[in-house]
Amino acid sequence: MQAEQQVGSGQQGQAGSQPWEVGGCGGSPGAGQGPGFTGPGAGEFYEPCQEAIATLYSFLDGELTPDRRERIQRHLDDCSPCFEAFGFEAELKTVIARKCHEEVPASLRQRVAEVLRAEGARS
Amino acid sequence: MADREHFADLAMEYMSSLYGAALRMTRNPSDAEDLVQETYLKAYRAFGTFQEGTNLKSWLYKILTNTFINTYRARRRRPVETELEEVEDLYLYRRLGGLEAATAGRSAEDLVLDRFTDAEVKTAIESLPDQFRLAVLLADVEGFSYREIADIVGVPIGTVMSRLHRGRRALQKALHSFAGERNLSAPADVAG
Repeated sequence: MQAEQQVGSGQQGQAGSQPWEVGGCGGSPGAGQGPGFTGPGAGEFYEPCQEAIATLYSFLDGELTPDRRERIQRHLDDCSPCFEAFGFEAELKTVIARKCHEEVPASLRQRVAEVLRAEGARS
Repeated sequence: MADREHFADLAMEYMSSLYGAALRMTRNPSDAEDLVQETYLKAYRAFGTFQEGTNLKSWLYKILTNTFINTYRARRRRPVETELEEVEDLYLYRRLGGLEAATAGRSAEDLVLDRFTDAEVKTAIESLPDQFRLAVLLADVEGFSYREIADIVGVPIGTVMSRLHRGRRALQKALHSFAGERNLSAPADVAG
């Protein structure tokens, strides 16, 4: 798990116990602008990071209230680990949509048109 | 009250997204074609009840989804509620994104994520249990809002969010298994 150590805390194996203990921008709220890669051992989590990760999907889906959205956006402007994570998730969302595109077989278009024509003629 | 004569003009443009969703739902081109055809026929017959000015695309998806649930899912005799393994937040990012960010800079996730093939993404979505697959499809592929998905699927918004969030995490895990198989991620990370 080299990657996790490089990015953040290096505390692996407890994934899921806290929303943001790996790769997090831990630190105390008063710690200044920088995210600071403090270890999570202190059991202290930077609240805005927790809130940001907890609302990540709602943020990306455009489902937050304007106030909440603005608060998260301000946090992302200041916190590069959260910004990176959001960017990754946003990109994943667009990649999924892009790679699921399907061409409709011409035969299906024809079939549907015929079925509707027949149905229209019946009624 | 909508006029049947205009149905084709209005509804046909949604066929490629309906067909894509039908493919992911049924996992089978022949069933997907039947499902789309049935959806259009039902929609045509019921078009008089469609409120003009409301969202035609989501109305069509509602018919598609109901038809799928009532016909195809019933046929497979699967339980309606399926258990889904809990997966941690940011599953994929912790394994691929962190590595790339540390070594290659900010836009690196484009490179990593683009290495997934279309077939891998489709298979990963299709690996999800029905209700999670529907939520992910409707949100991430079709771009419906939570409110619209709740209406299409017929469940409360909170249920939509829960299925969507859990489905997305499970999807990330499925994608990561492909990354491991093809060694998309770093050798040190394969075990994750």
